Amino acid sequence: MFTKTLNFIKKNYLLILAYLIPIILIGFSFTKYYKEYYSLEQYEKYYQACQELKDEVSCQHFNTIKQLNEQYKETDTKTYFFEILNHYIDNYIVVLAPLLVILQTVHFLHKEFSSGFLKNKLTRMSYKQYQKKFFTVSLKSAIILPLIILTIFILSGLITKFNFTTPEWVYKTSVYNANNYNNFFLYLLSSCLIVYFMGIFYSNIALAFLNKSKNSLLVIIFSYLCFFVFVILFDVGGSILLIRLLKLNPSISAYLNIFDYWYINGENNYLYFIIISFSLALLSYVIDRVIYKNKEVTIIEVEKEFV
Amino acid sequence: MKSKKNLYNDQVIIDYITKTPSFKIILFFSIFTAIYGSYIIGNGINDFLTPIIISHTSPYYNIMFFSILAVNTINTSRIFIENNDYTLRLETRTNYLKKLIKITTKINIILIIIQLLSFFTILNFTKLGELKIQKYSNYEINNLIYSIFFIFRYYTYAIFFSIINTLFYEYLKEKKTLIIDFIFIIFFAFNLPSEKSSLSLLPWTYFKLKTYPSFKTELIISILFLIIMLIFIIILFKIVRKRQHLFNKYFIYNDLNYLLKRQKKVLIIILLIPIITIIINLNKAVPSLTIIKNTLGLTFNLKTYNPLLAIMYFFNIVSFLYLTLSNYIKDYQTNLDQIYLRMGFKDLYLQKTILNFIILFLIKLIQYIILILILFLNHYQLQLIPILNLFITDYLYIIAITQLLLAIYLSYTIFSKRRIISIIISVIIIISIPLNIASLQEYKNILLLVLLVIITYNNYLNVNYHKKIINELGGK
Repeated sequence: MFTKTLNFIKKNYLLILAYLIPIILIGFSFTKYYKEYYSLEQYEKYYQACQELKDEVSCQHFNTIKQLNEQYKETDTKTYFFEILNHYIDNYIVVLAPLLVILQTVHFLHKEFSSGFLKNKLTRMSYKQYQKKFFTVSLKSAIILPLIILTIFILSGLITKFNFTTPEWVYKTSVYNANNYNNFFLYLLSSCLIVYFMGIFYSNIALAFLNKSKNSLLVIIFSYLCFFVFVILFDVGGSILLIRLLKLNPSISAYLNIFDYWYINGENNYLYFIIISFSLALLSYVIDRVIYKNKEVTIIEVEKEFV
Repeated sequence: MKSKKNLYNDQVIIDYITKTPSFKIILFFSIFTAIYGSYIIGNGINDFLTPIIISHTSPYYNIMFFSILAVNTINTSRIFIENNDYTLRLETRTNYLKKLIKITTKINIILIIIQLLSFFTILNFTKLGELKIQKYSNYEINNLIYSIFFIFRYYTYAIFFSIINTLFYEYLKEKKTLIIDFIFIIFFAFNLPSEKSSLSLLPWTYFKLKTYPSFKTELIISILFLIIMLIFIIILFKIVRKRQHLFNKYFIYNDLNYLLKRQKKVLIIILLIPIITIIINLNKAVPSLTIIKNTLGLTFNLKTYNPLLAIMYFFNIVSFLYLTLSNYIKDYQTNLDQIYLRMGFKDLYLQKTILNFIILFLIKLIQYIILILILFLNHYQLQLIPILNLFITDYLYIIAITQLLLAIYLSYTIFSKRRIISIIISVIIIISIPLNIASLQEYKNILLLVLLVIITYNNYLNVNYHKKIINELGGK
């Protein structure tokens, strides 16, 4: 049993890593959020200081924490979800999401290319059939991203007992946005769709470079590098082109920032984000189709001995 | 048995060298230096111990002493090498080199002992009865103990330098060694910058008057520097023993060809992307140094998270990591026949690493020059020294990170049966890496030390596990 598990880990280490990273990240975000705002350790520390020293600052802190603790009990699912997504996980996941998808894509397909097994496969199936399977990998790999959002939502729901009644104090917080709160399920659906399309796009980047190196690590690093180049060109280059040169409305810069695709500000249109992310996924798919259009070229690339 | 022992007896050759007129002249100058240090520099100081430290930290004394030491080392090496009848009997090159080092070290020790005896004899005559034992500076020890420590450290370092000099002589011959010695000695005349309580890799700082926060700190730093010198001597010994050129021309051309033909797109990206980001960062209210830091993501940290900084930081790391890894993996996978034909696998790592460092240095330099040019054209006031400082830190950080990740990758490949442990250790190491490159400017020495450790580890892996590396990476 142990050997089997060990073998499974050895064979699927990239896949395990891709799922382990978000699990750790989600756990870390929830703990950090709780510790930062609602930790009882702080509460007890200040309570003792307030009782023993009658210190004004400690009593003030104690009252604030006490108030926060009371608030915590009535925090709704939406607030918890948005807090985690916007203030805790957003910063890390934006940089890590492409890596998670790329790891999976490379895990599913790279060995076929590097070992030349692809040639054996093509003797048993047509190239069209293979292409179908090949491109479904991106659909499969991208699933992890909406799963992260759904996990955060479910965990937030479990912690708050699926309380969807927003308390009044939330209206004053920075996380509150009327549009997002009023259309919460629409937001959730749109958000999942957007990150899923972006996931397909990231996966397609990795697919484009699968046959460029025999070494899986180099494919991962190069695909990841391409993501950074894309972000800079899309955000910075896009801003220069559309806002500075074409004099378009500066508000469109929100749609050019990949970081906004994880937490959509309610003032922006969900539909535009969906259209842009879908277009990116489609465009990358078309590029990949062109790269892998010719069976002969693909096989020649596989047969090449280079790094 | 007895005759063989006589055959290798050092005393014979030492007697021969010490009887030569050249050694006698050197000895004369050595005694003169001792007189200069104890009588002239110590003149006017009513203490027995203070002149010891003052003279040994004087630039003139150091220049004189190290010149004599260098000349003596070269003279001894020359006589030893010319003595064909003796060297032929040593059979192997390793024996020959070991004997050469042993003889030069012994002769230098004789010279040092005579110089020290002269020094203390004169000091005894001039400062007799003036031994004042008191607390030394802010240290917890007295000046007598510190003087003993200082003298011991001074001459131990001197012996180590003479060993390095011997190896240089054997590798580069007389003229080049003399030029290197001249450059080394001339630096004693300059006041080199050195931070308190940190390890300095500039050897001259250990021969200057410098107080550390405590004696323990000075002791630890002195030992660390001694270890660094020892590692350097071992590496140099290996290079000299094989009489190999440091760089094999084939691999230089091969690497450059690979970089310019196969990686030209990455090169363009590395140079182009900072140009785009600097345009966004251009702001007259912000100093030029901050603009460069923001453009390359050098101030990125998790506490004050800035998305653009994060992107630029990762771009900076990932791009150089890709160049480095692809450069190594290329040879492991497709160049094995050339490696075995031309140099063997054992020497590959060090040579490739030095070459890789030069390539990354040039790319980084071009990157900075482009950024400085853009700032200059936009009429920014350039702070060149801080920019240079930042450049050195950035470069050291990049090469240390790339080597660290190479070490992780190689360990992961080699120890395939303990892959989970490798992953866990790697994750811990990656998490503990400091992110803010700009804040590491004061810790360049530590960065260099870390880099040295990683290189030693990588070299160990390459020398001992190269078969496994080839096996796992699928060498063809």
